[in-house]
Amino acid sequence: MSMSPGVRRFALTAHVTISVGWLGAVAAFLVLAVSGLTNHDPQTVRAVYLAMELLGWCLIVPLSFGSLLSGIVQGLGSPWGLLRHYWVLIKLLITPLATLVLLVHMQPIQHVAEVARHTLVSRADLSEMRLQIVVDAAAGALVLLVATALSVYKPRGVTAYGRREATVTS
Amino acid sequence: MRNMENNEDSQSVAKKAFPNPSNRRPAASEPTPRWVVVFGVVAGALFLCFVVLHLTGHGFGHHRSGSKAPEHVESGLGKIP
Repeated sequence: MSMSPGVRRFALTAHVTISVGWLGAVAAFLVLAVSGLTNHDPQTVRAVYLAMELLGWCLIVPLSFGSLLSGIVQGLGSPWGLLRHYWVLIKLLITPLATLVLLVHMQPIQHVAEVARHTLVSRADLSEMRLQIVVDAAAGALVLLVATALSVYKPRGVTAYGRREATVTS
Repeated sequence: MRNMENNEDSQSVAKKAFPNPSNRRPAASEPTPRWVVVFGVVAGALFLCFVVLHLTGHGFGHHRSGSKAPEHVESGLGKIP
């Protein structure tokens, strides 16, 4: 599948916007998670977890799927390919894995938000789960930073598949 | 004119995709780059930590059992109207 330069630029713009948006949303999520863990005011804590649930379902989850989809389109439609270069292949593994882990970790977020919706959450309540959310958000931000760095630096290295393909086409 | 631009654009992307000197194609026996090996080792170690943490009961498999919900959730005390 080969895209015309105009379509390729559009697809690239969409992929960069969605992926960087995902990283930004996770960074905002991390700030909220830290605030939810350390804040003393129960009303603020309650607002934080309700906002996190909204941010997770309405922004982070759709952006993760969008990034995966637009990345696949970008890989298939450009000479970089999906499996030819290590940096693309690693990104292709990172993104669905991060999406899967994110979906699994939406469960504790939803649970804390559900509790916060009905009661005032003090610092001691659900502390282990709230700490886990902070760690998850930090790990997610780190993984997305790695993916962004790979996209910018594009480190050299052609996979065995890419080498075979290059030999066949030359 | 437009076709020439498109052609140049495709060539520059192809050059980026195979950024070797003089845009040569990769040799069939090229070894795995060091950064991929290092990345694999680090990712493998982190994954192992992740699995061990979860198997020992510090992970998300124990979210509900490992954390205590506020008592007033069940009792209704402190409930927000």
